[in-house]
Amino acid sequence: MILSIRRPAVSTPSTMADYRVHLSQARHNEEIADKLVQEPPFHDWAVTAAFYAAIHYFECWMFNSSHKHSETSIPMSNGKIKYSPHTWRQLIVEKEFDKPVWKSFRKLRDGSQTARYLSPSRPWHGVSPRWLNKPASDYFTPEAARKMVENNLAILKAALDIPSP
Amino acid sequence: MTMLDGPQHTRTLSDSAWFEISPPPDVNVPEEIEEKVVDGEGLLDELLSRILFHPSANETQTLRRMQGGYDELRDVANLALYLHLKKQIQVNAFEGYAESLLSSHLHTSQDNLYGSFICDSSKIVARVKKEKTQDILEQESLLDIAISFDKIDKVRAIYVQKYRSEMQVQILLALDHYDDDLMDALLDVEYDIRKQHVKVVFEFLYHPVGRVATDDFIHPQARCIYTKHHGRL
Repeated sequence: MILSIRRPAVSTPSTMADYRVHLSQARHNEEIADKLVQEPPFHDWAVTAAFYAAIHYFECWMFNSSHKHSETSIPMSNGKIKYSPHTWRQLIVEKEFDKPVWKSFRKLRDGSQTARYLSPSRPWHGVSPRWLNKPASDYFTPEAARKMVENNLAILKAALDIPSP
Repeated sequence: MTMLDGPQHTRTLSDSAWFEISPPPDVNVPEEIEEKVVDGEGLLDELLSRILFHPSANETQTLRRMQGGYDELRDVANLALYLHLKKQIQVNAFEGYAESLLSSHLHTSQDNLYGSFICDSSKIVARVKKEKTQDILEQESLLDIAISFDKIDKVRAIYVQKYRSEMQVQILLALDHYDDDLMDALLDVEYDIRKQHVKVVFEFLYHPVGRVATDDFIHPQARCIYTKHHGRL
């Protein structure tokens, strides 16, 4: 597998709009994550909000790379994308950042997936799924959710050079 | 290793995943030699199997066993005959392996045949490793995955399924509550596997399924590569 991603360069004014939209959406998502994590039993949704904040922060970084957007840079094979956008993002994070950053991103994604589905994100047709035997608000303690929202997202933001508000 | 029967002709190596050679037309094979040929095929199969499915296996040991086996043949003609008679060799990832093996020994002098055989085998082993196909790489990674995650007690089962170009690895966890330390351990293993198998694109998914023993939910086409049989599950 070959990833060729140019390190982020300074954006020109004409390309800043998308960057700003991603940054704005990321901060919006992080803000609701911060609120929800303080309000059990809704702290499980904080994990999901934090993950979607992470995605938009990552897209800010991507926008300053040669790829611009995750969805439009996924390698193709026979006219079809080779990987899902989530897998593609993870590959880039793994390639471009240190292990702690990758782990933080993975924890947010995995936690968000469990919080939303309680099972595989892509329920497989033809077989009755067996869900986690409790709601996500019981599976994640408020402390665990807070750690993901505060620590893991902070590690990612620092690596991505996200500016303070 | 599967040996196929089929048309006895030579195909261009580069055009085929299968390598076939023709037996000499005028060879009359004595029964005792046929037996040795079967033994020789078994030894060759063993080496190839080890290379393909047990990449970390002791190849030197296997080569020694092969050498021992061929020493028993004694007669160089027998070995040459074996090589001639080997109608089809599944080469898939190791076309070069078979090509080198066969061509060199059919044109090697009697004096250095055995030494050459072992020498070539070593070279070919290295070549095979270099030219593994994606399928083989994926199979090797699955073996590593099963071995690596076996060390984590909460891992109940592992299923794999291809999705697009990704190797989806579904890891079922005997878990009631989110455990950040466990997640760290799982991701450490995942990270190492990713770094060791860079040509395979993985999608690891961790699913808490509680501690109650019930059937796993999984797509019919997903393949179980690991399961932990604990009394408590």
